[in-house]
Amino acid sequence: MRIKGLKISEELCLVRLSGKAPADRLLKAFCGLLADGRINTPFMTTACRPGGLQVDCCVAAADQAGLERRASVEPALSACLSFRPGVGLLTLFPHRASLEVLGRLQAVLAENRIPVFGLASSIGALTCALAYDCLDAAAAAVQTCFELEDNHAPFRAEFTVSQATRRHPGGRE
Amino acid sequence: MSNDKLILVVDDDPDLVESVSMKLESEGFQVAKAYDGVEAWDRIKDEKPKMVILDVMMPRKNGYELCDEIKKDDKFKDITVLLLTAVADAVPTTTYTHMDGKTTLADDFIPKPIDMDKLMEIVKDNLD
Repeated sequence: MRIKGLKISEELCLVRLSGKAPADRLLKAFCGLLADGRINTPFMTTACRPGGLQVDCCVAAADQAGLERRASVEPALSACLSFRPGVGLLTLFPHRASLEVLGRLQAVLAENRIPVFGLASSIGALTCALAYDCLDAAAAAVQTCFELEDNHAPFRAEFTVSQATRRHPGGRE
Repeated sequence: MSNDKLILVVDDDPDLVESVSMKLESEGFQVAKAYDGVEAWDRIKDEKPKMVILDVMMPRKNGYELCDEIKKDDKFKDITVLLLTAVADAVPTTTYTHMDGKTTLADDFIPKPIDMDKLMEIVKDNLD
Protein backbone atom coordinates (compact mmCIF):
# COMPACT_ATOMS: atom_id res chain seq x y z
CA MET A 1 0.00 0.00 0.00
CA ARG A 2 1.41 3.37 -1.02
CA ILE A 3 1.51 6.46 1.15
CA LYS A 4 2.99 9.86 0.44
CA GLY A 5 5.20 10.19 3.44
CA LEU A 6 6.30 9.87 7.04
CA LYS A 7 7.27 12.64 9.40
CA ILE A 8 9.10 12.31 12.70
CA SER A 9 8.95 14.99 15.37
CA GLU A 10 11.59 16.36 17.66
CA GLU A 11 11.57 15.18 21.30
CA LEU A 12 8.38 16.11 23.10
CA CYS A 13 6.68 15.73 26.45
CA LEU A 14 3.22 14.18 26.65
CA VAL A 15 1.04 16.08 29.09
CA ARG A 16 -2.10 14.41 30.36
CA LEU A 17 -4.89 16.40 31.95
CA SER A 18 -7.49 14.26 33.65
CA GLY A 19 -9.98 15.22 36.30
CA LYS A 20 -13.57 15.28 37.42
CA ALA A 21 -13.95 19.03 37.76
CA PRO A 22 -16.39 20.55 35.26
CA ALA A 23 -14.75 19.72 31.93
CA ASP A 24 -15.14 23.15 30.40
CA ARG A 25 -13.56 24.88 33.40
CA LEU A 26 -10.65 22.43 33.53
CA LEU A 27 -10.00 22.64 29.81
CA LYS A 28 -10.23 26.42 29.82
CA ALA A 29 -7.73 26.65 32.67
CA PHE A 30 -5.34 24.28 30.92
CA CYS A 31 -5.59 26.06 27.57
CA GLY A 32 -5.04 29.36 29.39
CA LEU A 33 -1.86 27.95 30.86
CA LEU A 34 -0.60 26.96 27.41
CA ALA A 35 -1.58 30.29 25.89
CA ASP A 36 0.01 32.34 28.67
CA GLY A 37 3.24 30.42 28.20
CA ARG A 38 2.96 30.68 24.39
CA ILE A 39 3.44 26.94 24.26
CA ASN A 40 2.78 25.16 20.98
CA THR A 41 0.94 21.85 21.00
CA PRO A 42 1.70 19.75 17.92
CA PHE A 43 -0.65 17.02 19.14
CA MET A 44 -3.83 17.19 21.20
CA THR A 45 -6.72 14.83 21.83
CA THR A 46 -9.64 15.34 24.16
CA ALA A 47 -12.17 12.89 25.55
CA CYS A 48 -15.08 13.29 27.90
CA ARG A 49 -15.74 10.06 29.74
CA PRO A 50 -17.95 9.11 32.67
CA GLY A 51 -14.84 9.45 34.85
CA GLY A 52 -14.26 13.00 33.66
CA LEU A 53 -12.23 14.87 31.12
CA GLN A 54 -9.00 13.55 29.62
CA VAL A 55 -6.75 15.66 27.44
CA ASP A 56 -3.48 14.36 26.02
CA CYS A 57 -1.22 16.87 24.38
CA CYS A 58 2.41 17.11 23.41
CA VAL A 59 4.65 20.09 24.04
CA ALA A 60 8.31 20.60 23.22
CA ALA A 61 10.62 18.92 25.72
CA ALA A 62 12.06 22.34 26.52
CA ASP A 63 8.60 23.60 27.53
CA GLN A 64 7.97 20.94 30.17
CA ALA A 65 9.69 22.66 33.08
CA GLY A 66 8.00 25.99 32.35
CA LEU A 67 4.60 24.39 32.07
CA GLU A 68 5.06 22.52 35.36
CA ARG A 69 6.16 25.75 37.03
CA ARG A 70 3.15 27.67 35.74
CA ALA A 71 0.80 24.88 36.73
CA SER A 72 2.20 24.73 40.26
CA VAL A 73 0.63 28.08 41.13
CA GLU A 74 -2.80 26.57 40.50
CA PRO A 75 -2.89 23.50 42.77
CA ALA A 76 -6.32 22.36 41.58
CA LEU A 77 -5.10 22.25 38.00
CA SER A 78 -1.65 20.96 38.86
CA ALA A 79 -3.19 17.95 40.63
CA CYS A 80 -4.86 16.97 37.36
CA LEU A 81 -1.67 17.05 35.28
CA SER A 82 0.88 14.33 34.62
CA PHE A 83 3.95 14.53 32.41
CA ARG A 84 5.61 11.84 30.32
CA PRO A 85 8.90 13.06 28.87
CA GLY A 86 10.75 11.33 26.03
CA VAL A 87 7.84 11.16 23.61
CA GLY A 88 7.81 11.75 19.86
CA LEU A 89 5.26 11.83 17.06
CA LEU A 90 5.20 9.64 13.99
CA THR A 91 2.96 11.12 11.31
CA LEU A 92 1.86 9.19 8.29
CA PHE A 93 0.14 10.90 5.37
CA PRO A 94 -2.21 11.11 3.69
CA HIS A 95 -4.84 9.43 5.82
CA ARG A 96 -8.19 10.56 4.43
CA ALA A 97 -10.17 8.53 6.93
CA SER A 98 -8.82 5.25 5.56
CA LEU A 99 -9.56 2.45 8.00
CA GLU A 100 -7.07 0.26 6.16
CA VAL A 101 -4.26 2.73 6.88
CA LEU A 102 -5.31 2.92 10.52
CA GLY A 103 -5.51 -0.88 10.85
CA ARG A 104 -2.18 -1.52 9.16
CA LEU A 105 -0.44 1.09 11.28
CA GLN A 106 -1.77 -0.33 14.52
CA ALA A 107 -0.95 -3.88 13.44
CA VAL A 108 2.64 -3.12 12.49
CA LEU A 109 3.27 -1.22 15.72
CA ALA A 110 1.79 -4.07 17.73
CA GLU A 111 3.84 -6.69 15.85
CA ASN A 112 6.97 -4.74 16.70
CA ARG A 113 5.91 -4.25 20.33
CA ILE A 114 6.04 -0.48 20.07
CA PRO A 115 3.80 1.12 22.73
CA VAL A 116 1.41 3.81 21.52
CA PHE A 117 0.60 6.59 23.99
CA GLY A 118 -1.82 8.44 21.77
CA LEU A 119 -3.32 8.35 18.30
CA ALA A 120 -5.13 11.03 16.33
CA SER A 121 -6.37 11.44 12.81
CA SER A 122 -6.69 14.79 11.11
CA ILE A 123 -7.72 16.11 7.74
CA GLY A 124 -4.47 15.02 6.14
CA ALA A 125 -2.62 12.69 8.44
CA LEU A 126 -2.56 9.96 11.05
CA THR A 127 -0.32 10.74 14.00
CA CYS A 128 0.73 8.54 16.88
CA ALA A 129 2.60 9.44 20.02
CA LEU A 130 5.38 6.95 20.76
CA ALA A 131 8.47 6.74 22.92
CA TYR A 132 11.02 9.07 21.34
CA ASP A 133 13.64 6.34 21.32
CA CYS A 134 11.31 4.11 19.29
CA LEU A 135 10.64 6.58 16.47
CA ASP A 136 13.30 5.33 14.08
CA ALA A 137 12.33 1.70 14.70
CA ALA A 138 8.67 2.59 14.20
CA ALA A 139 9.41 4.42 10.95
CA ALA A 140 11.37 1.42 9.70
CA ALA A 141 8.56 -0.94 10.70
CA VAL A 142 5.94 1.20 8.98
CA GLN A 143 7.95 1.04 5.77
CA THR A 144 7.66 -2.75 5.79
CA CYS A 145 3.93 -2.49 5.17
CA PHE A 146 3.59 0.89 3.47
CA GLU A 147 5.46 1.94 0.36
CA LEU A 148 6.69 5.52 0.23
CA GLU A 149 6.81 7.69 -2.88
CA ASP A 150 10.08 7.30 -4.78
CA ASN A 151 11.33 10.78 -3.98
CA HIS A 152 10.24 10.89 -0.38
CA ALA A 153 12.23 9.89 2.68
CA PRO A 154 10.94 9.97 6.26
CA PHE A 155 11.92 13.39 7.50
CA ARG A 156 12.58 14.80 10.91
CA ALA A 157 11.45 18.23 11.93
CA GLU A 158 14.56 20.37 11.51
CA PHE A 159 13.29 23.45 13.26
CA THR A 160 10.58 24.62 15.59
CA VAL A 161 8.63 27.82 15.47
CA SER A 162 8.29 29.44 18.85
CA GLN A 163 5.81 32.12 19.69
CA ALA A 164 7.47 35.38 20.49
CA THR A 165 5.74 38.16 22.35
CA ARG A 166 3.66 40.09 19.87
CA ARG A 167 4.85 43.57 19.09
CA HIS A 168 2.28 46.30 19.18
CA PRO A 169 2.36 49.27 16.81
CA GLY A 170 3.30 51.69 19.55
CA GLY A 171 6.34 49.67 20.50
CA ARG A 172 4.59 48.23 23.56
CA GLU A 173 5.40 44.55 24.26
CA MET B 1 4.62 25.23 -21.53
CA SER B 2 2.98 25.33 -18.12
CA ASN B 3 -0.22 23.62 -17.11
CA ASP B 4 -2.42 26.71 -16.77
CA LYS B 5 -4.83 25.21 -14.26
CA LEU B 6 -2.36 23.43 -12.05
CA ILE B 7 -1.24 24.77 -8.69
CA LEU B 8 1.44 22.95 -6.70
CA VAL B 9 1.04 23.19 -2.91
CA VAL B 10 4.24 22.52 -0.97
CA ASP B 11 4.46 22.25 2.81
CA ASP B 12 5.81 19.70 5.27
CA ASP B 13 2.56 19.96 7.25
CA PRO B 14 0.21 17.44 5.56
CA ASP B 15 -2.85 19.01 7.16
CA LEU B 16 -2.04 22.38 5.69
CA VAL B 17 -1.41 20.85 2.26
CA GLU B 18 -4.73 19.03 2.44
CA SER B 19 -6.80 21.98 3.60
CA VAL B 20 -5.31 24.40 1.06
CA SER B 21 -5.75 21.81 -1.69
CA MET B 22 -9.39 21.28 -0.79
CA LYS B 23 -10.03 25.02 -0.93
CA LEU B 24 -8.30 25.39 -4.30
CA GLU B 25 -10.12 22.38 -5.74
CA SER B 26 -13.44 23.76 -4.53
CA GLU B 27 -12.65 26.89 -6.56
CA GLY B 28 -12.01 24.85 -9.71
CA PHE B 29 -8.22 24.60 -9.68
CA GLN B 30 -6.22 21.44 -10.31
CA VAL B 31 -3.85 20.74 -7.46
CA ALA B 32 -0.61 18.81 -7.09
CA LYS B 33 0.99 18.27 -3.69
CA ALA B 34 4.52 17.95 -2.36
CA TYR B 35 5.84 17.73 1.17
CA ASP B 36 9.42 18.98 0.92
CA GLY B 37 11.55 21.04 -1.43
CA VAL B 38 13.20 18.13 -3.18
CA GLU B 39 9.93 16.43 -3.98
CA ALA B 40 8.48 19.77 -5.08
CA TRP B 41 11.32 20.41 -7.53
CA ASP B 42 10.70 16.99 -9.09
CA ARG B 43 7.00 17.78 -9.43
CA ILE B 44 7.76 21.16 -10.98
CA LYS B 45 10.03 19.57 -13.59
CA ASP B 46 7.49 16.85 -14.36
CA GLU B 47 4.30 18.88 -14.37
CA LYS B 48 5.29 22.53 -14.80
CA PRO B 49 2.48 24.08 -12.75
CA LYS B 50 1.21 27.59 -13.32
CA MET B 51 1.71 28.50 -9.68
CA VAL B 52 3.55 27.14 -6.65
CA ILE B 53 2.35 27.86 -3.11
CA LEU B 54 5.52 27.26 -1.18
CA ASP B 55 6.28 27.01 2.51
CA VAL B 56 9.52 28.62 3.62
CA MET B 57 10.67 26.25 6.34
CA MET B 58 10.86 22.71 5.02
CA PRO B 59 13.27 19.79 5.35
CA ARG B 60 15.71 18.69 2.62
CA LYS B 61 15.37 21.95 0.68
CA ASN B 62 13.75 25.07 2.10
CA GLY B 63 11.35 27.37 0.30
CA TYR B 64 13.94 30.08 -0.32
CA GLU B 65 16.30 27.68 -2.05
CA LEU B 66 13.54 26.23 -4.16
CA CYS B 67 12.18 29.67 -5.06
CA ASP B 68 15.63 30.72 -6.23
CA GLU B 69 16.01 27.59 -8.32
CA ILE B 70 12.67 28.19 -9.97
CA LYS B 71 13.33 31.85 -10.70
CA LYS B 72 16.85 31.28 -11.98
CA ASP B 73 15.84 28.56 -14.41
CA ASP B 74 14.74 29.84 -17.83
CA LYS B 75 12.32 26.95 -18.21
CA PHE B 76 10.51 27.67 -14.97
CA LYS B 77 11.03 31.34 -14.14
CA ASP B 78 7.52 32.26 -15.33
CA ILE B 79 5.90 30.04 -12.70
CA THR B 80 4.23 32.23 -10.09
CA VAL B 81 5.66 31.56 -6.64
CA LEU B 82 3.70 32.48 -3.50
CA LEU B 83 5.66 32.05 -0.29
CA LEU B 84 3.92 30.92 2.87
CA THR B 85 5.49 32.93 5.66
CA ALA B 86 4.43 31.55 9.01
CA VAL B 87 6.86 33.75 10.80
CA ALA B 88 6.25 37.04 9.04
CA ASP B 89 5.27 38.89 12.17
CA ALA B 90 4.95 36.18 14.79
CA VAL B 91 8.66 35.57 15.20
CA PRO B 92 10.44 38.85 14.55
CA THR B 93 13.84 37.50 15.53
CA THR B 94 13.98 34.81 12.87
CA THR B 95 15.78 35.25 9.59
CA TYR B 96 12.64 34.13 7.78
CA THR B 97 10.83 37.38 7.44
CA HIS B 98 8.74 39.15 4.88
CA MET B 99 11.66 41.32 3.90
CA ASP B 100 13.99 38.40 3.44
CA GLY B 101 11.25 36.74 1.42
CA LYS B 102 11.24 39.68 -0.98
CA THR B 103 14.85 39.00 -1.88
CA THR B 104 13.98 35.53 -3.13
CA LEU B 105 12.06 36.93 -6.10
CA ALA B 106 8.83 35.36 -4.93
CA ASP B 107 5.82 36.91 -6.62
CA ASP B 108 3.79 37.33 -3.45
CA PHE B 109 3.40 36.22 0.15
CA ILE B 110 0.71 34.45 2.12
CA PRO B 111 0.93 34.89 5.89
CA LYS B 112 0.35 31.95 8.22
CA PRO B 113 -1.95 31.09 9.84
CA ILE B 114 -3.78 31.05 6.54
CA ASP B 115 -7.03 32.92 6.04
CA MET B 116 -8.57 30.90 3.21
CA ASP B 117 -10.46 33.87 1.77
CA LYS B 118 -7.28 35.91 1.75
CA LEU B 119 -5.44 33.00 0.19
CA MET B 120 -7.92 32.83 -2.68
CA GLU B 121 -7.71 36.58 -3.16
CA ILE B 122 -3.91 36.41 -3.44
CA VAL B 123 -4.02 33.38 -5.74
CA LYS B 124 -6.52 35.00 -8.10
CA ASP B 125 -4.69 38.34 -8.09
CA ASN B 126 -1.50 36.61 -9.12
CA LEU B 127 -3.13 34.58 -11.86
CA ASP B 128 -4.70 37.61 -13.54
